[in-house]
Amino acid sequence: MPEIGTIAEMPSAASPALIGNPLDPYVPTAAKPWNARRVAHVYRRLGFGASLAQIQEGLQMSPSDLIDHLLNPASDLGPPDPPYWAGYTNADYAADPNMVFTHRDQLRRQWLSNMLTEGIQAKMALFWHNHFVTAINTVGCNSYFWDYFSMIHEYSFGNFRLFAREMGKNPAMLVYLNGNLNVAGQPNENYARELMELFTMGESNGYTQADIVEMARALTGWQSKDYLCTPAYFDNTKHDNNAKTIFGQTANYSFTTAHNLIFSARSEQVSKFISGKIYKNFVYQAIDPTVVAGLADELKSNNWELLPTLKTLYKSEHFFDERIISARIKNPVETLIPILKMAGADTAGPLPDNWWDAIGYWTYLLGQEMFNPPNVAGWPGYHAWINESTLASRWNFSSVTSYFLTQNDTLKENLRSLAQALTNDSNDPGLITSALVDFFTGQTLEPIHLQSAIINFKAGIPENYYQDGTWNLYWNEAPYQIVNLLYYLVKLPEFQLT
Amino acid sequence: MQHKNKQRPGATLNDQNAHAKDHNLWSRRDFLSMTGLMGAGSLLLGNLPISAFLPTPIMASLAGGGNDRILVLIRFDGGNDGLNTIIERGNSNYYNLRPTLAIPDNNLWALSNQYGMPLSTNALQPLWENGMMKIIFNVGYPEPNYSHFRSYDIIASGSDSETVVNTGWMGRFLDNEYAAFLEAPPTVPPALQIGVQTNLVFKSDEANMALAVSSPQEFYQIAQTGQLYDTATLGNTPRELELAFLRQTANSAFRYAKTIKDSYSRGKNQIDYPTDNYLAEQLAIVARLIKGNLGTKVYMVSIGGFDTHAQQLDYHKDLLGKVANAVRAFYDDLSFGNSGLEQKVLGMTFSEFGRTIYENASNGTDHGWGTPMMLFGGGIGNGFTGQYQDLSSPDPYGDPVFSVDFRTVYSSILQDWLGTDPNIVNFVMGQDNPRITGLVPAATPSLGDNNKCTLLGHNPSLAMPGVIEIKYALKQEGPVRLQILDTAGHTLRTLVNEFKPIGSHTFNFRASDWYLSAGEYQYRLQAGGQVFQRGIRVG
Repeated sequence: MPEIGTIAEMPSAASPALIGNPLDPYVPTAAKPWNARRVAHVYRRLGFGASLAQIQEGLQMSPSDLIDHLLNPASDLGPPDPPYWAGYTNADYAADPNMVFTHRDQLRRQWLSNMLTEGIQAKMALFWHNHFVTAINTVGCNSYFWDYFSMIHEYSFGNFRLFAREMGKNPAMLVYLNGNLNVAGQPNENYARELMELFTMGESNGYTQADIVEMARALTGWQSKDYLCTPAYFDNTKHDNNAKTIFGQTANYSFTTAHNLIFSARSEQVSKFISGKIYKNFVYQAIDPTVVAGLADELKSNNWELLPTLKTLYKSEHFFDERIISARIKNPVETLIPILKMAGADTAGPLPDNWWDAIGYWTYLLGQEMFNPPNVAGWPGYHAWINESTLASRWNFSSVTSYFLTQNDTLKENLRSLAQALTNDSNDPGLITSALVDFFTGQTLEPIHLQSAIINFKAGIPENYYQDGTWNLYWNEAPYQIVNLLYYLVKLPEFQLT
Repeated sequence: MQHKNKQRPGATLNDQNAHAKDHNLWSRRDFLSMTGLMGAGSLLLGNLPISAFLPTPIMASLAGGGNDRILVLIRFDGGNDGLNTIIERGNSNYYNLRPTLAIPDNNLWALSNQYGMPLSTNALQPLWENGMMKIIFNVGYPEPNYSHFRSYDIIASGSDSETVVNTGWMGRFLDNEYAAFLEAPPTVPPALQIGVQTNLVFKSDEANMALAVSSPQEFYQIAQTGQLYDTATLGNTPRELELAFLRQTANSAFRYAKTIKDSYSRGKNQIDYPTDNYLAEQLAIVARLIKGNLGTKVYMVSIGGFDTHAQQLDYHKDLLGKVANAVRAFYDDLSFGNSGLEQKVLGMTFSEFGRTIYENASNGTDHGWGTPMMLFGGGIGNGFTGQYQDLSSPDPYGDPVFSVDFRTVYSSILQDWLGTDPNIVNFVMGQDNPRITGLVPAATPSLGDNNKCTLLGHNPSLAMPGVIEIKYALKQEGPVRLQILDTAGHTLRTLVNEFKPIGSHTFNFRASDWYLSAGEYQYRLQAGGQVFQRGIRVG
């Protein structure tokens, strides 16, 4: 059984007593202003960063309006358009089995590209991929995985209760956690256990081994023939049609009523567990119990609807707390995608396939292979992302991603315009560097590192061109100088925080 | 070689439009070759696999390889004006071409009856008189390129003017010296560069061999605390807690920090260095590290400001004065107490190009061709190499043809100073450049005399038809790399790349096992800090 660890709580030294409810809507004050820093924070946490235009747009709105502006369209977006192979069975691949892998590559590219263009929805879907875990290498059938991929988008901001129920019938999940082996008379406990332990209630949190066995019996009947990759179906002859006793209550539970029971009899556990996971993913690793309890109440009172719950969190005083900003360790896609996003690559037209293939490969090397989390508990994340080796690899891959920006004329010019807009077209390399450091890291560097950043921005152009005013941002070198600065910035420890 | 008889448009600041074009030219080349493509930041050796961070016996043995000579490259950034650095005394052409910039004879100290240097550089006079300084006149390369960046790349890579080479000459040398750099990185940085971002000099095909620290301040942080990132001053907020975790990890990924700190603490500056002198600041660091036995073979320091398009006279004299004071202090420090250390450290100045022989309308000079190099070091003697610029050209815009190709200087230093096998020098330089005999003292003992590894030779196997036995002996355990090269010196196959015990070893080489067809090849054995290269014929 995979370890998910205990839920650490935020150190008390870092949690001074808050006045009022931390989930109250954030009201900007002089001490806690609504500024570019907080707008950027919203974009980083909800999605994969923002271009300067998006930050400027956000500044024109109230915090609450910005959250609505981002979440409403993302939640309305619906699942991605199915590819032509969405319903392919094994028979369809018989002529050219290699197409199985071609299609997987396409889907991976598509998703990474969506992180850039549909960042808010993709970020949420990634969260659910790491919650309701399946792995394409285990599932095998592309059509099953597509079904799953579509579902984690469809329900991203939807109703968690329905999401959890429908997930159990998803053919990918039926294969991944052996639901299709769970038949009357021969129950397989695997899915029932993870449903309670990892997907809804949390480990050892309100259920017994007997509950797992009985739950497994209730879930029998859903089948998927992964040797054919044909759609999932319900086989009533394989469903255990006898009474089961779950949480001390006895009835002839069906797949649906058994799920309903979890959400009615254990609503306390489920709401807290899911709220805690949301908090860790979007706020900070060490949970604030007051905030999580408040979120859990929101989730219950909204009948398990995620969107209003997420809005409450994102609009709250707590979410904009100074101590929370730039306190999360980036996962690998959060490390690489925002480099493109901040350069405005989301509006620069389609990027080459080989960029996405490279980025997909790098996130794999960094420990986050899209569609293949290590096990049913998902990527453990947080400090597990970082060791001497992966950190050094992050420097490398972030540098090459930055180098990509020089390989596209639109992006190159975006960089130039960015520096000009941030500095009112200054020709002072120190001022420009400071503005770019602020934009790309969202943090303040110590003086010696800022000095080094300036040296990197100057990029070996003789000093006299700066001193006599000959140099300016219109120079052909300017975009390359910004990339040279990025080479330095991506190696700073600060860059790993978001 | 002919004069370049046309004006280089844009090489002067006076002409803003053309000057902008000159800078456009900078971008035409792949700008990123300058920055080392994969990102020249402060932690270049972070690009390594996890094994690189684990101390191994291989690393320990590598640290002691080779001889104990050190090379310090001193870069004059911007294109140094040679004519006002080394002045041909009484040359009327010089005074005619430079009505405001020429330095009168009574403002010179004499290198000889014929040549002098500005008085601002008189700190160098004792070095010259004590046989610790040489001057190479008018160094350049054919078909000069007047872009700062491109020309620097040429000088750094050792390429021809028209060829883009993305590795540096020192990188290729160090790649040979530290054969298993990526597999088993040494505990000391093979090269260390302070205060300059561009590092093509040190880039090899496989890795960047230099540890580059962007500023002396960053370096001091490493030297004083053993870490690049401060972890002591962070507080308890979530962000600071995470930042502390990341900084600790980054510091430990930065493998050389402790070695540098230890050497820096052991070594002491024993004289006062000039203040307000950026080069002196860097050389003081280098001296401490050398005295602290860091073991790094090559250092690079740099000083900017040589792009003297306007109001050059006093400014350039002062700049050279700073160079002179810094270099003098450096050698005084090295030789302090008759240590003899100055005999082991060769300093070499270089610049991407020289400047026009005429002065421009802004009392400055524009991008030109040849420029002198200076060598410093105990026991190198004094004197001149090459021919001074011919200032008698009737064309005021013509640059006198260069005299010494910089690649002959590199080849001579690699072979004689660093004790590199002549074949390897040609391999590193990509061509067989002439050597300047006696430019620097030849390494003693010459390479191979240490006999830590002996190449016993090769012979066809009697027992196994088609097999060539390559035999060698190690007197000390260590890493061995055996490679097959084509006759042009390109590596084709790596046969052995592992840690071997003391004793005799035989490698049975069957070409077909390595998918090599019949023909002429070379093999190269690197072990015990030595390199052997031999031709073989595969029948």
